Amino acid sequence: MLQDSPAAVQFVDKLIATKGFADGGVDEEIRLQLRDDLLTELSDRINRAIVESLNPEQVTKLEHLLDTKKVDKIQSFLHNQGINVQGLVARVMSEFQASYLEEA
Amino acid sequence: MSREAHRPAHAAETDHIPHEEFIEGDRLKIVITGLDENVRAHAVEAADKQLAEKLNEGDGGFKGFVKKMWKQTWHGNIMRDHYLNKYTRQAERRIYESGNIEENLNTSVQDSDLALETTKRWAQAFDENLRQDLLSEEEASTYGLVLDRNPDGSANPEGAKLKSEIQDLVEEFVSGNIADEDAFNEQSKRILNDAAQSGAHSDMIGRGQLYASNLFQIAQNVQAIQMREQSLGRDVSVKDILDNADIIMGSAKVGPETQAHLNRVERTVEKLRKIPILNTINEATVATAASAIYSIAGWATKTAVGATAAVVAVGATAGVWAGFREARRLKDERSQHSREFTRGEFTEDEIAGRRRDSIEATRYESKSAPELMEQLRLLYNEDGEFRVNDGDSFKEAMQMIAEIEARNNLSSSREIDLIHYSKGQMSREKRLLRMGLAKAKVDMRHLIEDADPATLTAFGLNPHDIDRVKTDPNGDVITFLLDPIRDGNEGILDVNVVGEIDESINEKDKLYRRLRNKRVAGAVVKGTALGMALGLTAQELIIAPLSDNTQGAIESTFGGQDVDPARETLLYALENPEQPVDMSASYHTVDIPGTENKVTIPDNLQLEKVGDNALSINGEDVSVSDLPLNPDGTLTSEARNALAQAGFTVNEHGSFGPPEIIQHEIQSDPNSIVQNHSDQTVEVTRDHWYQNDTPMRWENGKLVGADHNELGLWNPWRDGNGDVHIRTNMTESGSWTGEERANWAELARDGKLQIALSLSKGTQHEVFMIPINAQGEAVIPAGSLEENFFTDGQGRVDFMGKYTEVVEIRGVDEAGKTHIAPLATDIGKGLNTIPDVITETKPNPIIEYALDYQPNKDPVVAVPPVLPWYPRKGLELISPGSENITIEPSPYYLSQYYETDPQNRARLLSRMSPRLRDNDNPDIELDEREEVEWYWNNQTPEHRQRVTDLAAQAGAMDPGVEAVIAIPVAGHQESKNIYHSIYLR
Repeated sequence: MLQDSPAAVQFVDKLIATKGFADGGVDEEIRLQLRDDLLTELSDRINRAIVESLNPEQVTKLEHLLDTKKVDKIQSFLHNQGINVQGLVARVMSEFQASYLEEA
Repeated sequence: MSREAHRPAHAAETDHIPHEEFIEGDRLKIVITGLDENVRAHAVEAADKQLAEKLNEGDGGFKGFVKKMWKQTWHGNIMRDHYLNKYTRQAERRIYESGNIEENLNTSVQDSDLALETTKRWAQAFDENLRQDLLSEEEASTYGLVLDRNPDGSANPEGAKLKSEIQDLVEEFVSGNIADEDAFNEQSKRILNDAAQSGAHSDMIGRGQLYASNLFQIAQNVQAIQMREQSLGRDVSVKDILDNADIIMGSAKVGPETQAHLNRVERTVEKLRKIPILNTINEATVATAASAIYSIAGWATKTAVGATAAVVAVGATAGVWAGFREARRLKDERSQHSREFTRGEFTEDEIAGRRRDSIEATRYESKSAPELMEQLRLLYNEDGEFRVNDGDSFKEAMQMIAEIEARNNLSSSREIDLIHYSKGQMSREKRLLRMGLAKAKVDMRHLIEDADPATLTAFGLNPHDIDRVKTDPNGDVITFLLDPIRDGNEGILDVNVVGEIDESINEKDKLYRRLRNKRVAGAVVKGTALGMALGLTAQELIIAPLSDNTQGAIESTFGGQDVDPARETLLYALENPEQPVDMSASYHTVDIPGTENKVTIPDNLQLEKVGDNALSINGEDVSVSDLPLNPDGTLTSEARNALAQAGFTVNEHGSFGPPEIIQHEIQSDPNSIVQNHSDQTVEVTRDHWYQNDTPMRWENGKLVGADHNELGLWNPWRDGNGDVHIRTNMTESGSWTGEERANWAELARDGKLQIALSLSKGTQHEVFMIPINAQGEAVIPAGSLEENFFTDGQGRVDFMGKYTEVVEIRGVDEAGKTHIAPLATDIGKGLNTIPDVITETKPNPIIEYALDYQPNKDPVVAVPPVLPWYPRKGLELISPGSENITIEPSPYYLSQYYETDPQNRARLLSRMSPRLRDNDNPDIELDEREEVEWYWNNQTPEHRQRVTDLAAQAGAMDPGVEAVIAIPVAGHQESKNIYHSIYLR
């Protein structure tokens, strides 16, 4: 979960603040729940974007790493497959920001 | 309903069993297949369709146009992922509520027999000989029987419980207590959900929330059996009958193969969800992305020039992201289009719209299931007897079998669709085709096993094959004959079936890559330009009017003037240029420690690094501490704002230092390697092999038949420098085929003898070439890409790809293909993954900041936001038949079934041959010359001219032509297939 990432928490906190839900805008408990929900959704979107950027063979290899609990190899696997994770995460976060801030 | 009323009236008079496909001998086959694995993919597909409908709906006129543009921007671009997620969740809910996996599809497209056909296919797969043809590999891995006793004889309580509950349910049905099908299904749902909840069968049916079962058909069968037995004076209980039942379970795959990829994506996303995401991406990745996004917002500079430079830089990034997005969406659309076509939602003739047309060109060429079934039917005569009886029909049959099998296997393994189906008939046609294939293989097996050697020779089998067929009673003859074909060779056929399909797939992929590059380039331009324009507009129309401290240009035009504004919009700043900043002070440049970035500041100020990622500036008049840096050593938005507030103007200039060249050695599959290095491969076609008139053949699992120069390719070896040497040892007269001869020495001298390295069977048309010198040796330098394909084994060097061939270069054709002819071939390991070297050029941006300190209150220029949004149309909706096509009957034959008004009928009659029309005798013999002349003279002059022009395109007939055969085809349906329909191999 992205809850463990200080940068992601800070990013989402800024989103919430921009939306006007910080500084007394909403109850603190609700704000924390909102932060948690947004981090979960952002995490899902990043995961999906990563898997969708892979071809069928690469998906099979990733599945194998997950099935054999070799999760520590995932980062190097993506790098070796030529996946631009940096650009991909930036894109997802940017789209996430746009969609969240523009949502009614 | 009473028990008697519930029984069919004819039941007592007949031994008719309503669903014979679920009974074999006296054993019933209960099938329960889980469908959960398919739900998410069907829901995603439904969401795609719903969004496409949304993007295509709208009224005409200017208002409608604007509305549509907004929808395409909002739904089709900015909020696309949000809406897709929302629609997917809704679709998933509808599927589970209805229990119908195709609930979200238009009813005309829905496969009404999906559940029944799926269970029929699984019941037929009970026969182990048919299973591999009827089920995909993935399905077969979940196939299992629920037993009330384990193989070791111990009790299996979960199996016994399920069987007992099914028995109770069937008894309730037979007794009439649960007579209604809906009620029956509700109760069976309850039983199966309980079974799934227990987790006892999860390895077979997964979560068990959605399934297809034949329990109702089984209950009807049990009832019929019981009544039949009673009519014969035998009393049997439901338990007696069900004791003779097998319960088959597994996870079924339904829908197009392309959808299988969606299933797997969903499954992998689900698995990723269960692990901490920081295993997938690291903190620095998130931090850099967040910093980049926020640094876009809230930027301000002292000058309009600086603001313009900033917006251009950010606009370029927005363009790149737009390109990424376009690539992803195009991939989705290709897969969506293929799924729809495969399901028979539309035909090729019904495809309309620019986007559809271009994506259709990249769809893998598929064959219709009815067409393939028809091919199989041709193997049988009217009485259903197998009619293969000579060499031609034998080869024809093997080719049909090989093609269908290749299409099934390639579709499944690559998750693409190479077979398409009729609307609403997919599951039925899939089952019938697979069953037809299995039956043809069984009949071929019997034919070969029963045939004597003379007949087998007439079938085209060589003595070695015949020997193998006749002397290996345990081997499957069909497998033996099909294996080389499956491996991408011709085998006993004259054509490489798998190779041809593979080639067609590669061609389509090439077209797709071309389309993708074009679309991505367009998206980058559009994303950049429109993103900046929208940003400027938003700044003027939204930010400035709503803000008391930002002065906008449009606001100013209409008399609005903010009191003491702290910021100006870019347009306002451009319209109202400031006095140039006094740059007469002297400056010095300081490196930002740890990076190549630099900061130029006035001499009376000092810049220091604070900790690892912050700066401070100190002077007599001003002091700014803790200016945070991004991980790449650039100023964060916080730092820029702090500097602006303190009275600094920040101008920046970017340049690039020497790029960092990074070489990654990765493990890659042959296809990817060939794609990654397409500039280093040569597209080839093999004209023939110099086989010395002794064809290669399989013997005891080995390829034999090589002699003379075919044996002249030595094992590679490596010298002290790491170079790989491939040496040949050939005689000048040791290569021939028929009349054609190749002298290796002459060829080598002329530079026409080379080594062709094929990484796999699937890429053997795109090879890596290495020249062979006059001494008959090819040297692959250490450190080259090709050297990577060789590995050091025990005392030798092995090629990890598939084929090493010594080839004669025969020339290059107009299509750019190099024609070659192999003199010798060595078969390598053919590994699935091979080391590849990818070179990454990492740009090395250097940012130089020029800080000027002016402690005044002049407003700063706000950098407008870049909004990387632009309207994007989805695929056009296709409404089959919506074009209101009217197919007129032939004027030669007005069917009694054709209904029309009298006026139209008279018109059609006027086009009918007078001989037919006036004689009232449909059997009249017509003179074709008279009819053709009459027909021709009755056409309009324009039409006659058009036909004459078309005929002229064929050119003059070659004097050597002895016969012309006209092959009638349905031109209105076959326009896109005609080439393949009449293509003679």
